[in-house]
Amino acid sequence: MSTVCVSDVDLVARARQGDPAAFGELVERHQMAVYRAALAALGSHADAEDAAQDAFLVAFRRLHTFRGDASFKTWLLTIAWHQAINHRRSLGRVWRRMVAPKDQEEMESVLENVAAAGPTPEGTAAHHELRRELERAIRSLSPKLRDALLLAQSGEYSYDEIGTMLRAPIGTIKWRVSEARRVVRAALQQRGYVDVR
Amino acid sequence: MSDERLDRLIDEVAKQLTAGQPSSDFRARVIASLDRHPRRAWWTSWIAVPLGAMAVTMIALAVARPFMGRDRGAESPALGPSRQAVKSETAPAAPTPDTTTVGLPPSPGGFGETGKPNTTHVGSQQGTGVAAAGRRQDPSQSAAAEVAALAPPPLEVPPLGVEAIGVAALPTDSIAVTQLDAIAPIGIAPLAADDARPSGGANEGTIDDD
Repeated sequence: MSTVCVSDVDLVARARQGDPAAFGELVERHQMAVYRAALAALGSHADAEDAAQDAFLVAFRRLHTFRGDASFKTWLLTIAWHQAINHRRSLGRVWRRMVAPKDQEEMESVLENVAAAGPTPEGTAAHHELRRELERAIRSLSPKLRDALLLAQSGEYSYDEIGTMLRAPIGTIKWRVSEARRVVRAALQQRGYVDVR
Repeated sequence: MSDERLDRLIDEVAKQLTAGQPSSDFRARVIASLDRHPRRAWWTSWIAVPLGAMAVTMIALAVARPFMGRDRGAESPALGPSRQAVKSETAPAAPTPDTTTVGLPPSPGGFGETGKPNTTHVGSQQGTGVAAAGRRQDPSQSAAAEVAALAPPPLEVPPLGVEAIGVAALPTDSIAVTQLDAIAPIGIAPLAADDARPSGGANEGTIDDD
């Protein structure tokens, strides 16, 4: 049976009846959102994948508690965020591992692409350094501000979904994102990046 | 650098920090983990919890029963008379209190009910059928019976044979108290005023200043 036009609710109903293929389809549909939420919380690809896997496992066990009040994605993201936060509490060293060696390589390539637009080698180097400082400033944000900023900028979630995950009103989430930007800007200005052009 | 441009840069870096995707075999690994941990039906907890509670209660009762029986035999005054009554129907009244102090099987007279485990179990083995039927059989008692079977045969202590003292043999006459003679009053003459200091060895209350 094709699952292209099947809604999440139908897939949930089939998964409840013991259809593993239906739950596999749900995994396929939402793995990116779950994974990126975990990555925003944990900062490590390996930890994020473990947390995402645990989240799907927990969701499968709790399928009977899904009542359809919210969308399946929102319900799943709530579980995923909870799992990720549990991982983060147990790890305790997450933000030191924010950029793993593999992530560092990815970041380097991105930075090189951005830097390629720079007019001069000096400008490229300055831009490169600025992004490093930005990354450092984001990492040193408080968890509330950092979570809101990363989830909002991941492009995977609406403010409504972020509010459900973080258990905060949408207005609070928007304020946290704005405040996170302001704190990062202030941190950069303290480090002398005010006049960077 | 303007704030707008810096904000755009912040958003770019934040987006980059959450960029990435799970490995290609992620779905397969999730499904495999589901197979390893099959979903429990929601009603399993409603059955497992009461069953677990029942099991714990039964274990607790089984463990506590020997102690409860011992305490009942030693401390419960309500059960004492009934046991005594049952035993008095079958046992002669020959008190041998020494048997309890040396750990020998209790005498049929009932003095062996001291609450000590060894005397209790021996008594349950060697008592009359009526006494044994009055007690519940449980695993701990059967184990104690096996232990008691390995014990050496009980010493047979002959009765001391002390004859009872009849009440009639005691003198029951009233004790006659003879009236003593009246004591003659002793006359005390008052001392003279200039002779207040006692003389001789009667000097209590005085201080020697030597």
